[in-house]
Amino acid sequence: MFKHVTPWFTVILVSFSLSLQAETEIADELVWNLQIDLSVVSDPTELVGVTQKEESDFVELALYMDLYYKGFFIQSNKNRTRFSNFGAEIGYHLYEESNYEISLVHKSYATGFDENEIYGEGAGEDVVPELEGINSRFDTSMQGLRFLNYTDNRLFWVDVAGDLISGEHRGWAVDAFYLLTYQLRNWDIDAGIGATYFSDKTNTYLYGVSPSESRALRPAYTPGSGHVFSVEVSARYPLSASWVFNTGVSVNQYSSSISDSPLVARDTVTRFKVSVGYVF
Amino acid sequence: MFFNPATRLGHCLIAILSCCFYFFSLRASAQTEEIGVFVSPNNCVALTKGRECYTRANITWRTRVSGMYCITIDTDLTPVKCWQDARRGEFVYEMSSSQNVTITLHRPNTNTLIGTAVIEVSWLYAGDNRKRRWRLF
Repeated sequence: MFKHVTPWFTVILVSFSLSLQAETEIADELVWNLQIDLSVVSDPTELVGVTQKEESDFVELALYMDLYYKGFFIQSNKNRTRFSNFGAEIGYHLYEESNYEISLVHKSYATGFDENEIYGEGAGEDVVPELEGINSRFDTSMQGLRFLNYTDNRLFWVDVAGDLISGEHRGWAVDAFYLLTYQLRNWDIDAGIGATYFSDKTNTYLYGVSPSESRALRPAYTPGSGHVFSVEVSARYPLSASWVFNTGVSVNQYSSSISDSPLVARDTVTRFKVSVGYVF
Repeated sequence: MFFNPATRLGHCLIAILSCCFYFFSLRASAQTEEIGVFVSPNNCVALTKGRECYTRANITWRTRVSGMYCITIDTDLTPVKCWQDARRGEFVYEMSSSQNVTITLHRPNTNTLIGTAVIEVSWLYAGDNRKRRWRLF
């Protein structure tokens, strides 16, 4: 059930939150938010042989953190803690105006995977037969620039980033997202549409099959560049001054260069989530 | 006439318990008849600081003396509702405010303040939330 919160992670974040609380009183510029979410998720992936089986696969406990300090920021951009950096993105504002900004950003744009079950606590033990023998795909964070524009009810960003540090694939990606927020009494209802483009190297790293990975039912595959379109609708409601209710659905549509991969089972993935969060 | 002592004792106990029940019922009734103006819920939570908070608040009031009574909201002197020759009243107030709302009961004829109640506005996120609308997945 608590698969995404390893003990050391919890210790770090708890001590971090305590130190932040202390700092908040003495540094006006520091803005932070810490939230614990308990979710029920239907979280299928595009990968072959990977399905939610156990009851615990549908329950997720996660910690999200936002922090801004003198241009530096850490944001829990996507509510998926199995992304690298604990699902967070790290950055620095290079230029900031009243409703737009340009930032350096360090972020993972795709979830890594390997031959092991990625759901549940059996990670590292249960080998997915369809993925047996593949090399590990890491949650490679990329580094790049972000242009962000926002108003009271609209948000748009575009990231252009490359694998400059890890050297796992040396590819690049472009990630764009447009979000509209409707306020319905105390509810926030978000409707978003986005696209992520993966260069040849990034897409091949994630979804290609090298000759050494190929098997009788898994031929070698070099996909070329690829993209993912996404549509999301979500809603938030304050249950109290400390508790928030979230729910939402997202649909991802993968390009044929991704869905044709022997590692990929479907070209459309629909995810659903209901959660209750405690806001510190 | 034959009286069983055990039966008599039982009747006495029932009588005592009934008296106790009646006494505490009266006392509870008196407590619910408290004089003043009351609002439920008395708080409203918005997602972010400074945002309008919406709630349907049930306002009730009770006084000892019948007369004309009016409810006003915050500093607006125009009554949102008045009652003639009444000792109690209630109505539903559709609140929409980013700040605490004070409900005042007064007698307009004598300009007497009878009581006040407050709907407190709080919020979940204190900071600017415009940039923190992240994808769900």
